Amino acid sequence: MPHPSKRELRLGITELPDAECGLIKTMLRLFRYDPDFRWVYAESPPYDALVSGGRPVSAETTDAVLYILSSAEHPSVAADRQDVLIRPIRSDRLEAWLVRIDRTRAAEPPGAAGTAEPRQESAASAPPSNSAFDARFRLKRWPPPSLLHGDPARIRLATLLSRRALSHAELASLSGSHPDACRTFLSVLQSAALLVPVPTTGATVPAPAETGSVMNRLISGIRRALFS
Amino acid sequence: MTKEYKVLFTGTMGAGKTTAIASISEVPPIVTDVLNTDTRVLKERTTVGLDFGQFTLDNGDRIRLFGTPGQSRFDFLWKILATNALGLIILADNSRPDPLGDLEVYLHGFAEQLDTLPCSIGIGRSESHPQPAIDDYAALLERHNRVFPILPVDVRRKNDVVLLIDTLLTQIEANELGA
Repeated sequence: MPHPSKRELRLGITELPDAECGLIKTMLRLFRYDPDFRWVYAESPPYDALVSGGRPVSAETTDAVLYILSSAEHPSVAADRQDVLIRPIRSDRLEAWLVRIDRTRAAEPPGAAGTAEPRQESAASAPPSNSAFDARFRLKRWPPPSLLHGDPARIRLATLLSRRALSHAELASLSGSHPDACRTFLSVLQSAALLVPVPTTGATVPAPAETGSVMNRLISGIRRALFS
Repeated sequence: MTKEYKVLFTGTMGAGKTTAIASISEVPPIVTDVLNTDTRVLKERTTVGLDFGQFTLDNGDRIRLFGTPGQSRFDFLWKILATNALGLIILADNSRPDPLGDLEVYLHGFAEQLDTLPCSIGIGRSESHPQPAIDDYAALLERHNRVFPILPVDVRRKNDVVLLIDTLLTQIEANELGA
């Protein structure tokens, strides 16, 4: 049932790879063919709801958060949790969640709905404890060429993951690749079931600048000689 | 005082070890080929000792490139050459009757070293012989509990060989970060 005022509802996206952001934006545009669908993509707050790749979202931002997770990262998360969408992102599930939030907003008393008065984060909207942001992964099998595209940057990422378990932030730090590119690549590998999640120990992998060993200087020298 | 390091190339007869070394060596490779007496292989000459090339870094250090003899009867040499190597490149030849079986020979021959030694696998002649696919090699390695970079390679192209060596360097970088 549509909201009587027909005010547009603002959906934000955070902590998702560019490819998935683009996918959700496209879905929103398609959903708008239904005249009762009120959601639009919002670049910045205030939000009526937020789609997140896993980082906990402050209750002051919005109380309606949909977490996009991967089953390999969160094997214990129930697929039927209403605030969780397990990859791949399916349009029917995203639409159902948005319509449900719309109806919830419509049923709330005046002044409670919308973004003006943020509420306490409910247990149902809390992120899973082992946030996707912190998870580490290791490659269990070398990816096929269709995933690497002969791209030296992707080959470097895959090589690092073949040797040690890394989070997307650690992978970005070590490889020098953009964090979004690392996250996207991890998602691609995960979709192909090529990653093994590894429990985190809390210790972070040092950045390359912190490891100025003789071996690292040797590696730099070899690269200069070969690529010159 | 300059230092010397080594990178090892191995693979079956005709896989292109000598050519790969020649593509990046700053000196013509020293080759110890002799007439091939193995009539199963259509190759006039083959390496029974080892190939050797090198390049020099800007600080004077040298990277020595060794090609092992291809035949498994020389596997006693493989282990000697692998000692203190920076890494190992295994060249597979997809035009051979059983390339996956060939790879298994090297996985067994270097099994002990491969627990720590960086290793990458180059698949040659895959354009004319697309099977087995890269994924078939990956599946074989998975059965051996190994994950190594596997790249198609034309050993005549320097960039292909450099990319293979770069994956060895990336593995060394990952190792350097500790457990």
